[in-house]
Amino acid sequence: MVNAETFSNSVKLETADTLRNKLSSAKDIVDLYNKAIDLLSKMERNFGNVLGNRRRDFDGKVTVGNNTEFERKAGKYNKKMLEYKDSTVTTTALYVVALAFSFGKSNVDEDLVDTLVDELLLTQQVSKRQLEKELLNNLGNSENTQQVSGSKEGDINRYEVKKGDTLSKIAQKLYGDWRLYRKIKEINGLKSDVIKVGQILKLPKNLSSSSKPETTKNTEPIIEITTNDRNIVRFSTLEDYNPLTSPQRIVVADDLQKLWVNDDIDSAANLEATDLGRLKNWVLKFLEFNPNILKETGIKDIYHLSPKEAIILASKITMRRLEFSYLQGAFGGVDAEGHVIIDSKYLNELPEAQRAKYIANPSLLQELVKKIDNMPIDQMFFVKEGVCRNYGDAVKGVFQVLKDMQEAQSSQLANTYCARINSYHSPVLRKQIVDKHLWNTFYTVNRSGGVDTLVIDATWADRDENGNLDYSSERFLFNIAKMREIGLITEAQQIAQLERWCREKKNQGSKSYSATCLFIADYYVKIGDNERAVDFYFELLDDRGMKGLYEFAREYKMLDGDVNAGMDRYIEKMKSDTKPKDNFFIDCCANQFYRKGLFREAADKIFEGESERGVSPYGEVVLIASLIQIKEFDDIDKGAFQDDLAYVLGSQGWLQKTYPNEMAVILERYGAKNNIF
Amino acid sequence: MDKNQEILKLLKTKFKDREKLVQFFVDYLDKMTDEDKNQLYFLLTSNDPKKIAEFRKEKEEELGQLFIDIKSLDAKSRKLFLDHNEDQDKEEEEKNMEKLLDNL
Repeated sequence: MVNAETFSNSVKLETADTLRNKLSSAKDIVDLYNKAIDLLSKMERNFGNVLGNRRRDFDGKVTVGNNTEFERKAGKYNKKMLEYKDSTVTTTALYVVALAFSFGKSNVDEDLVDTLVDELLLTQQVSKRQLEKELLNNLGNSENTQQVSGSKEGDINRYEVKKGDTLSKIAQKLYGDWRLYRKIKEINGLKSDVIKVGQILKLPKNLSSSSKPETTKNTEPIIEITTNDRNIVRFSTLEDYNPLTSPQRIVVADDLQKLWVNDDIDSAANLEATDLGRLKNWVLKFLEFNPNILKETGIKDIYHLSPKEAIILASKITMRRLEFSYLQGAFGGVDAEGHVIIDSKYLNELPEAQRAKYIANPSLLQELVKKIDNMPIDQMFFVKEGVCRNYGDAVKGVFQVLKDMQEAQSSQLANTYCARINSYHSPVLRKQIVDKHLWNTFYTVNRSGGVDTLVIDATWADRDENGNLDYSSERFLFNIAKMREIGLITEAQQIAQLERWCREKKNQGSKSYSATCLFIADYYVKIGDNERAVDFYFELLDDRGMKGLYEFAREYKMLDGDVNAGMDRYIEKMKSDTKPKDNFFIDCCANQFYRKGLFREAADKIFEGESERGVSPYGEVVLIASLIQIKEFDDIDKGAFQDDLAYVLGSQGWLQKTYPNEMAVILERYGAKNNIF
Repeated sequence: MDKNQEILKLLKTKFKDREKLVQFFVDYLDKMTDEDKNQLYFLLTSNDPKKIAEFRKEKEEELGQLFIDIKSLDAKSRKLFLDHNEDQDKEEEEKNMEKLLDNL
């Protein structure tokens, strides 16, 4: 455990002066605001953990408990924290007004005002939501204050005390924490700690300590996005998907309808060829023969489904019946000469006999896929063939059937819509996260005119061990890209949302995190904010380690104007990094010296630890070019670098692309000599 | 006309095309102190770009300072929680030791 004193000593605060010096533009304010709000939210959660079981009003006053010095102090800090939160929001808001008056110089300022207002609105909405949630929790707690956790009937085991048992030993044995002996004592109404052999104790199946702050459940946060027309699109998780429904159809803005009205479909669609009446009969028949699916999903009344129930049921029916085949995936299109391209990754999943058949005659594959594309879903269910597009179609079709089955007077699905979304909305992310994929997104227009959104991927769920349906967290990125494409949000808003997403995913090392950082960095390059771009390239680097470094440097070429400044920062960062420095890092440093005209330093850098690490092709180019520049031809001509030069000249095509200046120097001197040694 | 309404009217006139900004203040104005409202009023009525630029600078500094204060409060509160956890563990360990001794 961290010693409190050590911890306190290790917290180094930035001084006000250094921070003030850093604030040079409005962009820093966005950053600072976000950092402050992040920190405040973390603190709020911590206070919630410590003070959460007591009734707490939002002045930070603890109305129940508040007995110990610790509680009083924590209450005081909590109050201070809430004051700071208000000040942060107010100060930023006033700053935004002042900023709004002074734009006109550039569009970037205008975008910044928008970004800041978005962030402010978001904080405001999150606070409101938290307040409602806390108040509800507090009401619940006040009714149940006497109930001991885990003491509900049916959750209790009986335990006979054996020789040598003590309360703490039992607590350790059964719950892995001796400190829970107090709870056992409390539940059994014991006045002392003494227990006798043969005594019967009541022990709950699950018991948790209330003396330690309970960690908050790690669920994905609900994300709200305000569109250009001030409608709120709210992304939630399957667990939290409980929109306020209405049996009457709610009229919604045209722009917003674009989310589901023309949903993505990239071929002659199965769904369009489907007779929903027949599909309905099929679904009913399926449910009749598979009653367990209703039991598993806990659904009691199929004619009164909530949006969440309908979404789960539509997905499960699809997953249960659409038996997956890789045939469609194996068809990779047709090349310019009309030959069928086979994607062996999918083909290899097929049984040997089938595989051989399609390899021998690839056009059979094309014919079959064409047939599947035009086949109605209800037939396809029995054919046992299909990929993500078929899943997406089937989920949408079955959902439509379930929606039509609801009683009109009380339907909770009247305002829920299903769309198919595909990965083409964001080519950059598509390359990195999911290639050529399609999934479903559900939208429920709620009573306040906003839209609750949930992303479901039945195809992947079918292969997921836990059958997890909810992909709101990851596919969110593409859904945001779609919102941008249909004009619901501005590009700056899209980036602000992606940055928010990145902050939450930081350090998780996922491919999607890196891809998103790259995407954001590219945006900043586009608008000319190289500093920010570099920050995100660094993120990419942090996450993928040395491999990311290479990508960073490659992408970095886009920042030509700032190469020197950027490389300095990059070298500075790498010096303090604990990651092992490989060839590439050292060669990059050397190259940086070379570009600055410090040829001796460049050559020395390459020699640094050379015997242990070897030199990369890039390093060889820089080395030879440096030696030429410092006129140490003898070393080269006498053969000390014979292999290196031979290699460089032999591979000049691809090295020239990366190091044109250095290669020009080398070729000028040695290029004309066919056999120099 | 009370101050809030006056401010909102000014905001709506000055920021016709920035509905979101106005909306933010519609929802948030009640939470602001009188001093903050005065500052906002000053901004909306001042026509001096130099003063507005100064005001902007001032807010930048305030936000910077606030962040420092927030970090410091964060450190203090984390220390408080750590101390508290340590105290509790110590107390329980002592009790447990006593119990063990009793049972010997």
